[in-house]
Amino acid sequence: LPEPFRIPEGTRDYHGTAAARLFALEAALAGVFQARGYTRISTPACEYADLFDQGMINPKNMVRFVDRQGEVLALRPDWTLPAARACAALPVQNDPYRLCYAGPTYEIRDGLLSESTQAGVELIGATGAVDTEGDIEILSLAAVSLRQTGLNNFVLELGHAGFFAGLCAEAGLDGEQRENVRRATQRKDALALEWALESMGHSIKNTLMKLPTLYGGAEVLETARNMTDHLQAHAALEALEAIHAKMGDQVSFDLGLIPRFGYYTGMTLQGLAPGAGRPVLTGGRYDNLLARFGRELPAVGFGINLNQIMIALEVSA
Amino acid sequence: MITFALAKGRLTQGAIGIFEKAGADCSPLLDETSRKLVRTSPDGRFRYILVKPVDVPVYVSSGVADAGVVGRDTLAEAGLPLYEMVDLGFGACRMCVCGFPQDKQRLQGGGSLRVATKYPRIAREWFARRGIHIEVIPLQGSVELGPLVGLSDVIVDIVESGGTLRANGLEVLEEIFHSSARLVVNRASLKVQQGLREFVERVAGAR
Repeated sequence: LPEPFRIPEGTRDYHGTAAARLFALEAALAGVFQARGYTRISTPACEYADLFDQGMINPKNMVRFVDRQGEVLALRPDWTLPAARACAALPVQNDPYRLCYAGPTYEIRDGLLSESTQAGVELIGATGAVDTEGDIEILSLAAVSLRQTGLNNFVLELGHAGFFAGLCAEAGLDGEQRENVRRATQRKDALALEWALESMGHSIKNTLMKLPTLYGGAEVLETARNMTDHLQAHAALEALEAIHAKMGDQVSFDLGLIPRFGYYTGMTLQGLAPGAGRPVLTGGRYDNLLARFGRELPAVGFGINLNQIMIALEVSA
Repeated sequence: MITFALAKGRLTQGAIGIFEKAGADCSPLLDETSRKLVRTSPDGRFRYILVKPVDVPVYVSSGVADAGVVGRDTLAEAGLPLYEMVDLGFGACRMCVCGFPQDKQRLQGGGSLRVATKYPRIAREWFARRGIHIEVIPLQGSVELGPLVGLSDVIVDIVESGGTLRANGLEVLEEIFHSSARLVVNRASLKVQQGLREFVERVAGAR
Protein backbone atom coordinates (compact mmCIF):
# COMPACT_ATOMS: atom_id res chain seq x y z
CA LEU A 1 0.00 0.00 0.00
CA PRO A 2 1.34 3.48 -0.81
CA GLU A 3 1.75 5.81 2.16
CA PRO A 4 1.13 9.24 0.66
CA PHE A 5 1.51 11.12 3.95
CA ARG A 6 4.84 9.73 5.11
CA ILE A 7 7.90 11.91 5.76
CA PRO A 8 11.44 10.73 6.58
CA GLU A 9 12.02 9.62 10.16
CA GLY A 10 13.85 12.32 12.11
CA THR A 11 11.91 15.15 10.46
CA ARG A 12 8.52 16.59 11.42
CA ASP A 13 5.82 18.99 10.37
CA TYR A 14 4.94 22.01 12.46
CA HIS A 15 1.48 23.53 12.41
CA GLY A 16 -0.91 25.36 14.69
CA THR A 17 0.51 26.56 17.99
CA ALA A 18 3.78 24.59 17.62
CA ALA A 19 4.52 26.32 14.30
CA ALA A 20 3.57 29.68 15.81
CA ARG A 21 5.93 29.08 18.74
CA LEU A 22 8.81 28.05 16.46
CA PHE A 23 8.43 31.14 14.26
CA ALA A 24 8.04 33.41 17.29
CA LEU A 25 11.30 32.02 18.71
CA GLU A 26 13.07 32.57 15.40
CA ALA A 27 11.77 36.12 15.16
CA ALA A 28 12.68 36.95 18.77
CA LEU A 29 16.25 35.72 18.29
CA ALA A 30 16.64 37.51 14.94
CA GLY A 31 15.53 40.68 16.78
CA VAL A 32 18.18 40.24 19.50
CA PHE A 33 20.93 39.48 16.97
CA GLN A 34 20.06 42.39 14.68
CA ALA A 35 19.82 44.86 17.59
CA ARG A 36 23.46 44.00 18.34
CA GLY A 37 24.55 44.73 14.76
CA TYR A 38 24.46 41.22 13.30
CA THR A 39 23.21 41.02 9.70
CA ARG A 40 21.18 38.10 8.47
CA ILE A 41 22.67 35.76 5.86
CA SER A 42 21.25 32.81 3.98
CA THR A 43 23.29 29.99 2.45
CA PRO A 44 22.26 26.91 0.44
CA ALA A 45 20.83 23.91 2.28
CA CYS A 46 23.37 21.71 0.49
CA GLU A 47 27.06 22.36 -0.17
CA TYR A 48 30.03 20.47 -1.59
CA ALA A 49 30.81 17.86 1.05
CA ASP A 50 34.49 18.95 1.02
CA LEU A 51 33.53 22.02 3.02
CA PHE A 52 32.39 19.89 5.96
CA ASP A 53 35.05 17.16 5.56
CA GLN A 54 37.73 19.84 5.85
CA GLY A 55 35.88 21.25 8.85
CA MET A 56 36.50 17.92 10.58
CA ILE A 57 32.88 16.82 10.70
CA ASN A 58 32.66 13.04 10.51
CA PRO A 59 31.25 12.02 7.07
CA LYS A 60 29.23 9.34 8.86
CA ASN A 61 27.23 12.10 10.54
CA MET A 62 26.18 13.75 7.27
CA VAL A 63 23.52 13.22 4.63
CA ARG A 64 25.63 13.00 1.46
CA PHE A 65 24.66 12.42 -2.14
CA VAL A 66 26.16 12.70 -5.63
CA ASP A 67 25.09 15.38 -8.13
CA ARG A 68 24.84 14.93 -11.90
CA GLN A 69 28.49 15.85 -12.38
CA GLY A 70 29.54 13.16 -9.92
CA GLU A 71 30.44 15.65 -7.17
CA VAL A 72 29.60 14.76 -3.57
CA LEU A 73 27.18 17.16 -1.86
CA ALA A 74 26.02 17.24 1.76
CA LEU A 75 22.98 18.70 3.47
CA ARG A 76 24.19 21.35 5.92
CA PRO A 77 25.00 19.57 9.23
CA ASP A 78 26.08 22.84 10.83
CA TRP A 79 25.88 26.58 10.11
CA THR A 80 29.38 27.71 11.07
CA LEU A 81 31.23 26.27 8.07
CA PRO A 82 28.83 27.70 5.44
CA ALA A 83 28.82 31.05 7.27
CA ALA A 84 32.65 31.13 7.31
CA ARG A 85 32.79 30.21 3.63
CA ALA A 86 30.25 32.90 2.70
CA CYS A 87 32.02 35.48 4.88
CA ALA A 88 35.39 34.83 3.26
CA ALA A 89 33.91 35.89 -0.10
CA LEU A 90 32.77 39.28 1.24
CA PRO A 91 34.83 42.43 0.47
CA VAL A 92 37.69 43.14 2.88
CA GLN A 93 36.70 45.52 5.70
CA ASN A 94 38.37 46.82 8.84
CA ASP A 95 35.52 46.12 11.23
CA PRO A 96 34.71 42.54 12.12
CA TYR A 97 31.89 40.82 10.23
CA ARG A 98 28.82 40.19 12.38
CA LEU A 99 26.58 37.60 10.74
CA CYS A 100 23.46 35.82 11.93
CA TYR A 101 21.33 33.05 10.48
CA ALA A 102 18.42 30.70 11.13
CA GLY A 103 17.40 27.53 9.37
CA PRO A 104 17.40 23.73 9.40
CA THR A 105 20.47 21.50 9.79
CA TYR A 106 20.67 17.78 9.02
CA GLU A 107 22.70 15.23 10.90
CA ILE A 108 22.90 11.47 11.07
CA ARG A 109 22.84 10.40 14.72
CA ASP A 110 23.13 6.70 15.51
CA GLY A 111 22.39 5.93 11.89
CA LEU A 112 19.18 7.98 11.85
CA LEU A 113 18.46 11.30 10.20
CA SER A 114 17.86 14.19 12.58
CA GLU A 115 16.63 17.58 11.40
CA SER A 116 16.88 20.54 13.75
CA THR A 117 16.44 24.27 13.37
CA GLN A 118 19.39 26.36 14.44
CA ALA A 119 19.61 30.12 14.96
CA GLY A 120 22.98 31.64 15.68
CA VAL A 121 25.69 34.23 15.16
CA GLU A 122 29.29 34.36 13.95
CA LEU A 123 31.69 37.17 14.88
CA ILE A 124 34.48 37.04 12.30
CA GLY A 125 37.54 39.32 12.53
CA ALA A 126 39.40 40.94 15.42
CA THR A 127 37.26 42.98 17.81
CA GLY A 128 40.12 44.38 19.88
CA ALA A 129 43.66 43.78 21.02
CA VAL A 130 42.76 40.46 22.61
CA ASP A 131 40.43 37.61 21.68
CA THR A 132 38.74 37.81 25.07
CA GLU A 133 36.75 40.84 23.89
CA GLY A 134 35.16 38.79 21.13
CA ASP A 135 34.57 35.87 23.49
CA ILE A 136 32.80 38.18 25.94
CA GLU A 137 30.65 39.74 23.21
CA ILE A 138 29.54 36.29 22.11
CA LEU A 139 28.98 34.98 25.65
CA SER A 140 26.91 38.01 26.68
CA LEU A 141 24.86 37.65 23.51
CA ALA A 142 24.41 33.92 24.24
CA ALA A 143 23.05 34.70 27.72
CA VAL A 144 20.72 37.45 26.45
CA SER A 145 19.50 35.22 23.61
CA LEU A 146 18.69 32.28 25.88
CA ARG A 147 16.78 34.59 28.24
CA GLN A 148 14.91 36.00 25.23
CA THR A 149 13.65 32.51 24.33
CA GLY A 150 11.85 32.43 27.68
CA LEU A 151 14.21 30.04 29.46
CA ASN A 152 14.86 31.30 32.97
CA ASN A 153 16.91 28.43 34.31
CA PHE A 154 19.93 27.60 32.14
CA VAL A 155 23.66 27.09 32.53
CA LEU A 156 26.33 28.47 30.18
CA GLU A 157 29.29 26.15 30.42
CA LEU A 158 32.76 26.75 28.98
CA GLY A 159 35.60 24.49 27.98
CA HIS A 160 38.75 25.12 25.92
CA ALA A 161 40.10 23.13 22.97
CA GLY A 162 43.67 24.10 23.94
CA PHE A 163 43.50 22.52 27.39
CA PHE A 164 42.90 18.96 26.18
CA ALA A 165 45.37 19.42 23.31
CA GLY A 166 48.01 20.67 25.77
CA LEU A 167 47.54 17.78 28.19
CA CYS A 168 47.75 15.23 25.36
CA ALA A 169 50.92 16.83 23.98
CA GLU A 170 52.48 16.89 27.45
CA ALA A 171 51.66 13.21 27.97
CA GLY A 172 52.97 12.36 24.49
CA LEU A 173 49.80 10.49 23.48
CA ASP A 174 49.58 9.13 19.94
CA GLY A 175 46.45 9.51 17.80
CA GLU A 176 44.75 6.35 19.00
CA GLN A 177 45.47 6.91 22.70
CA ARG A 178 44.20 10.46 22.36
CA GLU A 179 40.97 9.25 20.78
CA ASN A 180 40.48 6.69 23.58
CA VAL A 181 41.06 9.32 26.25
CA ARG A 182 38.73 11.74 24.46
CA ARG A 183 35.99 9.15 24.23
CA ALA A 184 36.23 8.12 27.89
CA THR A 185 36.37 11.76 29.03
CA GLN A 186 33.34 12.64 26.97
CA ARG A 187 31.38 9.94 28.82
CA LYS A 188 32.99 10.86 32.17
CA ASP A 189 33.79 7.15 32.33
CA ALA A 190 36.60 6.80 34.88
CA LEU A 191 36.93 3.05 34.32
CA ALA A 192 37.35 3.32 30.54
CA LEU A 193 39.80 6.16 31.09
CA GLU A 194 41.83 3.98 33.42
CA TRP A 195 41.91 1.25 30.76
CA ALA A 196 42.93 3.75 28.08
CA LEU A 197 45.83 4.91 30.27
CA GLU A 198 46.87 1.44 31.43
CA SER A 199 50.31 1.52 29.83
CA MET A 200 51.09 5.14 30.82
CA GLY A 201 53.41 6.37 33.53
CA HIS A 202 52.06 7.04 37.00
CA SER A 203 52.08 10.84 36.89
CA ILE A 204 50.49 11.09 33.41
CA LYS A 205 47.80 8.69 34.53
CA ASN A 206 47.10 10.63 37.72
CA THR A 207 46.78 13.86 35.76
CA LEU A 208 44.54 12.62 32.97
CA MET A 209 42.33 10.64 35.36
CA LYS A 210 41.17 14.01 36.76
CA LEU A 211 39.76 15.17 33.39
CA PRO A 212 36.18 13.87 33.88
CA THR A 213 35.91 15.59 37.27
CA LEU A 214 37.04 19.04 36.14
CA TYR A 215 33.65 20.71 36.04
CA GLY A 216 31.95 23.32 38.21
CA GLY A 217 32.78 26.91 39.18
CA ALA A 218 36.01 28.86 38.73
CA GLU A 219 37.75 26.68 41.36
CA VAL A 220 38.08 24.10 38.57
CA LEU A 221 40.55 26.38 36.76
CA GLU A 222 42.68 26.58 39.88
CA THR A 223 42.75 22.77 40.24
CA ALA A 224 43.61 22.43 36.55
CA ARG A 225 46.51 24.86 36.81
CA ASN A 226 48.22 22.65 39.38
CA MET A 227 47.87 19.61 37.12
CA THR A 228 50.12 20.62 34.25
CA ASP A 229 53.17 22.62 33.20
CA HIS A 230 52.26 22.66 29.54
CA LEU A 231 52.26 26.14 27.97
CA GLN A 232 49.26 25.57 25.70
CA ALA A 233 47.19 24.21 28.59
CA HIS A 234 48.13 27.20 30.76
CA ALA A 235 47.30 29.66 27.97
CA ALA A 236 43.88 27.98 27.72
CA LEU A 237 43.29 28.37 31.47
CA GLU A 238 44.37 32.02 31.38
CA ALA A 239 41.89 32.68 28.58
CA LEU A 240 39.11 31.12 30.64
CA GLU A 241 40.16 33.07 33.73
CA ALA A 242 40.03 36.33 31.77
CA ILE A 243 36.49 35.42 30.68
CA HIS A 244 35.49 34.55 34.23
CA ALA A 245 36.80 37.91 35.45
CA LYS A 246 34.29 39.65 33.16
CA MET A 247 31.34 37.24 33.19
CA GLY A 248 31.50 36.13 36.83
CA ASP A 249 29.07 33.44 37.88
CA GLN A 250 27.05 33.68 34.68
CA VAL A 251 29.39 30.97 33.38
CA SER A 252 30.60 27.64 34.72
CA PHE A 253 33.27 25.30 33.39
CA ASP A 254 33.82 21.77 32.18
CA LEU A 255 37.37 21.12 30.99
CA GLY A 256 36.29 17.66 29.85
CA LEU A 257 33.95 19.30 27.33
CA ILE A 258 35.23 18.21 23.93
CA PRO A 259 32.88 19.33 21.15
CA ARG A 260 31.59 17.13 18.34
CA PHE A 261 32.99 19.34 15.61
CA GLY A 262 36.76 19.45 15.21
CA TYR A 263 37.31 23.03 14.04
CA TYR A 264 37.38 24.72 17.46
CA THR A 265 40.71 26.23 18.58
CA GLY A 266 39.87 28.14 21.77
CA MET A 267 36.98 28.64 24.14
CA THR A 268 34.05 26.27 23.57
CA LEU A 269 30.62 26.78 25.07
CA GLN A 270 27.38 24.95 25.59
CA GLY A 271 24.05 26.02 27.04
CA LEU A 272 22.17 23.48 29.15
CA ALA A 273 18.59 23.62 30.41
CA PRO A 274 16.50 21.27 32.57
CA GLY A 275 14.33 18.94 30.50
CA ALA A 276 16.39 19.25 27.31
CA GLY A 277 18.60 16.18 27.26
CA ARG A 278 20.93 17.73 24.69
CA PRO A 279 22.56 21.19 24.76
CA VAL A 280 20.24 24.05 23.79
CA LEU A 281 23.26 26.04 22.57
CA THR A 282 26.73 25.13 21.28
CA GLY A 283 29.62 27.18 19.96
CA GLY A 284 33.16 28.35 20.41
CA ARG A 285 36.23 29.98 18.92
CA TYR A 286 37.63 28.76 15.58
CA ASP A 287 40.63 30.88 14.63
CA ASN A 288 42.10 28.68 11.87
CA LEU A 289 39.01 28.10 9.79
CA LEU A 290 38.91 31.33 7.74
CA ALA A 291 42.52 30.79 6.61
CA ARG A 292 41.21 27.83 4.62
CA PHE A 293 39.33 30.32 2.47
CA GLY A 294 42.34 32.64 2.14
CA ARG A 295 41.39 35.04 4.94
CA GLU A 296 43.39 35.02 8.19
CA LEU A 297 40.66 36.07 10.60
CA PRO A 298 39.91 34.98 14.16
CA ALA A 299 36.31 33.94 14.69
CA VAL A 300 33.86 32.95 17.39
CA GLY A 301 30.14 32.15 17.42
CA PHE A 302 27.28 30.02 18.66
CA GLY A 303 24.14 28.30 17.42
CA ILE A 304 20.92 27.75 19.36
CA ASN A 305 18.99 24.51 18.77
CA LEU A 306 15.37 25.72 18.63
CA ASN A 307 13.93 22.21 18.90
CA GLN A 308 15.76 21.61 22.18
CA ILE A 309 14.60 25.06 23.39
CA MET A 310 10.98 24.09 22.67
CA ILE A 311 11.43 20.87 24.69
CA ALA A 312 12.94 22.78 27.61
CA LEU A 313 10.15 25.39 27.51
CA GLU A 314 7.49 22.68 27.51
CA VAL A 315 9.04 21.00 30.56
CA SER A 316 9.37 24.25 32.52
CA ALA A 317 5.79 25.35 31.63
CA MET B 1 13.33 16.39 42.21
CA ILE B 2 15.78 13.87 40.74
CA THR B 3 14.27 11.27 38.38
CA PHE B 4 15.83 7.81 38.03
CA ALA B 5 15.17 5.22 35.33
CA LEU B 6 15.52 1.75 36.86
CA ALA B 7 14.89 -1.76 35.60
CA LYS B 8 12.88 -4.02 37.90
CA GLY B 9 14.91 -6.96 39.16
CA ARG B 10 18.55 -7.72 39.88
CA LEU B 11 20.07 -4.35 39.00
CA THR B 12 17.58 -2.38 41.07
CA GLN B 13 17.94 -4.71 44.05
CA GLY B 14 21.70 -4.12 43.91
CA ALA B 15 21.31 -0.37 43.58
CA ILE B 16 18.90 0.14 46.49
CA GLY B 17 21.53 -0.41 49.21
CA ILE B 18 24.01 1.96 47.57
CA PHE B 19 21.36 4.60 46.80
CA GLU B 20 20.09 4.54 50.40
CA LYS B 21 23.63 4.99 51.71
CA ALA B 22 23.97 7.94 49.32
CA GLY B 23 20.87 9.56 50.82
CA ALA B 24 18.06 8.62 48.40
CA ASP B 25 14.76 7.43 49.88
CA CYS B 26 14.19 4.13 48.03
CA SER B 27 11.09 3.09 50.00
CA PRO B 28 8.81 3.39 46.91
CA LEU B 29 10.88 0.61 45.31
CA LEU B 30 10.36 -1.88 48.13
CA ASP B 31 6.71 -2.67 47.33
CA GLU B 32 7.17 -5.54 44.90
CA THR B 33 3.46 -6.13 44.38
CA SER B 34 2.76 -2.60 43.15
CA ARG B 35 2.23 -2.16 39.45
CA LYS B 36 2.84 1.58 39.48
CA LEU B 37 5.40 2.52 36.85
CA VAL B 38 6.19 5.98 38.24
CA ARG B 39 6.84 6.22 41.98
CA THR B 40 7.77 9.24 44.06
CA SER B 41 9.45 9.25 47.46
CA PRO B 42 7.28 10.59 50.35
CA ASP B 43 9.48 13.71 50.68
CA GLY B 44 9.05 14.43 46.95
CA ARG B 45 12.81 14.57 46.31
CA PHE B 46 13.19 11.39 44.26
CA ARG B 47 11.12 9.90 41.48
CA TYR B 48 11.60 6.42 40.03
CA ILE B 49 10.50 5.33 36.56
CA LEU B 50 10.43 1.55 36.17
CA VAL B 51 11.43 0.48 32.66
CA LYS B 52 12.90 -2.46 30.74
CA PRO B 53 16.69 -2.81 31.20
CA VAL B 54 17.47 -2.10 27.51
CA ASP B 55 15.40 1.10 27.71
CA VAL B 56 17.30 2.68 30.62
CA PRO B 57 19.88 4.39 28.31
CA VAL B 58 17.04 5.77 26.15
CA TYR B 59 15.30 7.45 29.11
CA VAL B 60 18.53 8.88 30.51
CA SER B 61 20.02 10.02 27.22
CA SER B 62 16.83 11.87 26.27
CA GLY B 63 16.73 13.69 29.62
CA VAL B 64 13.34 12.26 30.66
CA ALA B 65 15.27 10.64 33.52
CA ASP B 66 18.27 12.37 35.13
CA ALA B 67 20.09 9.16 36.00
CA GLY B 68 19.74 5.40 35.88
CA VAL B 69 21.34 2.06 36.62
CA VAL B 70 22.22 -0.21 33.72
CA GLY B 71 24.77 -2.88 32.77
CA ARG B 72 27.73 -1.86 30.65
CA ASP B 73 26.72 -4.52 28.09
CA THR B 74 23.37 -2.76 27.51
CA LEU B 75 25.09 0.63 27.40
CA ALA B 76 27.63 -0.44 24.80
CA GLU B 77 24.87 -1.89 22.64
CA ALA B 78 22.76 1.29 22.93
CA GLY B 79 25.70 3.57 22.04
CA LEU B 80 23.81 6.66 23.24
CA PRO B 81 25.45 9.87 24.51
CA LEU B 82 25.36 10.05 28.31
CA TYR B 83 27.73 10.14 31.28
CA GLU B 84 28.79 6.74 32.58
CA MET B 85 29.92 7.95 35.96
CA VAL B 86 30.18 5.22 38.57
CA ASP B 87 30.99 1.53 38.31
CA LEU B 88 28.64 0.06 40.93
CA GLY B 89 30.58 -3.19 41.06
CA PHE B 90 27.69 -5.68 41.07
CA GLY B 91 26.14 -7.49 38.10
CA ALA B 92 29.58 -8.57 36.93
CA CYS B 93 29.82 -10.58 33.73
CA ARG B 94 31.96 -10.80 30.58
CA MET B 95 31.00 -10.03 26.98
CA CYS B 96 32.48 -12.88 24.97
CA VAL B 97 32.69 -14.61 21.63
CA CYS B 98 31.72 -18.25 22.27
CA GLY B 99 31.54 -21.36 20.13
CA PHE B 100 32.92 -24.85 19.65
CA PRO B 101 36.63 -25.12 20.58
CA GLN B 102 37.51 -26.37 17.08
CA ASP B 103 36.21 -23.10 15.59
CA LYS B 104 38.72 -20.98 17.49
CA GLN B 105 41.14 -20.68 14.58
CA ARG B 106 38.38 -19.17 12.44
CA LEU B 107 38.72 -16.02 14.59
CA GLN B 108 42.23 -15.46 13.20
CA GLY B 109 40.77 -13.70 10.15
CA GLY B 110 39.94 -14.46 6.55
CA GLY B 111 36.61 -15.88 5.45
CA SER B 112 33.38 -14.83 7.04
CA LEU B 113 31.41 -15.84 10.11
CA ARG B 114 27.75 -16.09 11.01
CA VAL B 115 27.28 -14.60 14.48
CA ALA B 116 24.10 -15.10 16.53
CA THR B 117 23.66 -12.42 19.20
CA LYS B 118 21.44 -10.11 21.23
CA TYR B 119 24.18 -7.47 20.73
CA PRO B 120 24.46 -6.78 16.96
CA ARG B 121 26.23 -3.46 17.41
CA ILE B 122 28.90 -4.84 19.73
CA ALA B 123 29.43 -7.87 17.46
CA ARG B 124 29.76 -5.72 14.32
CA GLU B 125 32.23 -3.31 15.97
CA TRP B 126 34.36 -6.08 17.48
CA PHE B 127 34.75 -8.07 14.27
CA ALA B 128 35.09 -5.00 12.04
CA ARG B 129 38.03 -3.83 14.15
CA ARG B 130 39.66 -7.20 13.54
CA GLY B 131 38.96 -7.31 9.81
CA ILE B 132 36.62 -10.29 9.95
CA HIS B 133 33.50 -10.12 7.82
CA ILE B 134 30.39 -11.28 9.67
CA GLU B 135 26.73 -11.87 9.05
CA VAL B 136 24.76 -10.97 12.18
CA ILE B 137 21.82 -13.18 13.11
CA PRO B 138 19.85 -11.17 15.68
CA LEU B 139 18.19 -13.30 18.36
CA GLN B 140 16.25 -12.34 21.51
CA GLY B 141 17.35 -15.20 23.79
CA SER B 142 18.89 -18.70 24.11
CA VAL B 143 21.63 -17.50 21.80
CA GLU B 144 23.68 -20.64 22.62
CA LEU B 145 21.38 -22.58 20.32
CA GLY B 146 22.94 -20.86 17.30
CA PRO B 147 26.04 -23.08 16.91
CA LEU B 148 24.25 -26.16 18.28
CA VAL B 149 21.67 -26.28 15.52
CA GLY B 150 23.87 -24.80 12.82
CA LEU B 151 22.14 -21.40 12.69
CA SER B 152 25.45 -19.62 13.31
CA ASP B 153 29.19 -20.38 13.61
CA VAL B 154 29.73 -18.50 16.88
CA ILE B 155 27.78 -16.29 19.32
CA VAL B 156 28.48 -12.97 21.04
CA ASP B 157 26.87 -12.92 24.48
CA ILE B 158 27.40 -12.20 28.16
CA VAL B 159 28.88 -14.99 30.25
CA GLU B 160 28.38 -15.18 34.03
CA SER B 161 29.27 -18.65 35.31
CA GLY B 162 29.73 -20.33 31.92
CA GLY B 163 27.49 -23.22 33.05
CA THR B 164 25.12 -23.10 30.06
CA LEU B 165 28.08 -22.99 27.68
CA ARG B 166 29.77 -26.05 29.22
CA ALA B 167 26.52 -28.04 29.36
CA ASN B 168 26.27 -27.59 25.59
CA GLY B 169 29.88 -28.26 24.65
CA LEU B 170 30.65 -24.60 23.95
CA GLU B 171 33.38 -22.41 25.42
CA VAL B 172 34.60 -18.83 25.55
CA LEU B 173 36.79 -18.23 22.50
CA GLU B 174 37.52 -14.54 23.07
CA GLU B 175 36.71 -11.96 25.71
CA ILE B 176 35.47 -8.58 24.44
CA PHE B 177 35.07 -6.64 27.72
CA HIS B 178 34.10 -6.92 31.38
CA SER B 179 30.66 -5.66 32.24
CA SER B 180 29.07 -4.55 35.50
CA ALA B 181 26.30 -2.21 36.63
CA ARG B 182 26.87 1.50 35.99
CA LEU B 183 25.31 4.67 37.30
CA VAL B 184 24.57 6.68 34.16
CA VAL B 185 23.69 10.37 34.18
CA ASN B 186 22.15 12.70 31.61
CA ARG B 187 24.71 15.22 30.34
CA ALA B 188 22.54 18.28 30.92
CA SER B 189 21.02 17.06 34.20
CA LEU B 190 24.44 16.69 35.84
CA LYS B 191 24.94 20.45 35.49
CA VAL B 192 21.41 21.81 35.93
CA GLN B 193 19.67 19.43 38.35
CA GLN B 194 20.06 20.58 41.95
CA GLY B 195 21.80 18.02 44.16
CA LEU B 196 22.52 15.49 41.41
CA ARG B 197 26.28 16.01 41.35
CA GLU B 198 26.48 15.59 45.12
CA PHE B 199 24.35 12.44 44.91
CA VAL B 200 26.64 10.95 42.25
CA GLU B 201 29.68 11.71 44.38
CA ARG B 202 28.07 10.07 47.40
CA VAL B 203 27.24 6.97 45.33
CA ALA B 204 30.88 6.80 44.20
CA GLY B 205 31.91 6.92 47.87
CA ALA B 206 29.28 4.44 49.09
CA ARG B 207 29.79 1.61 46.69
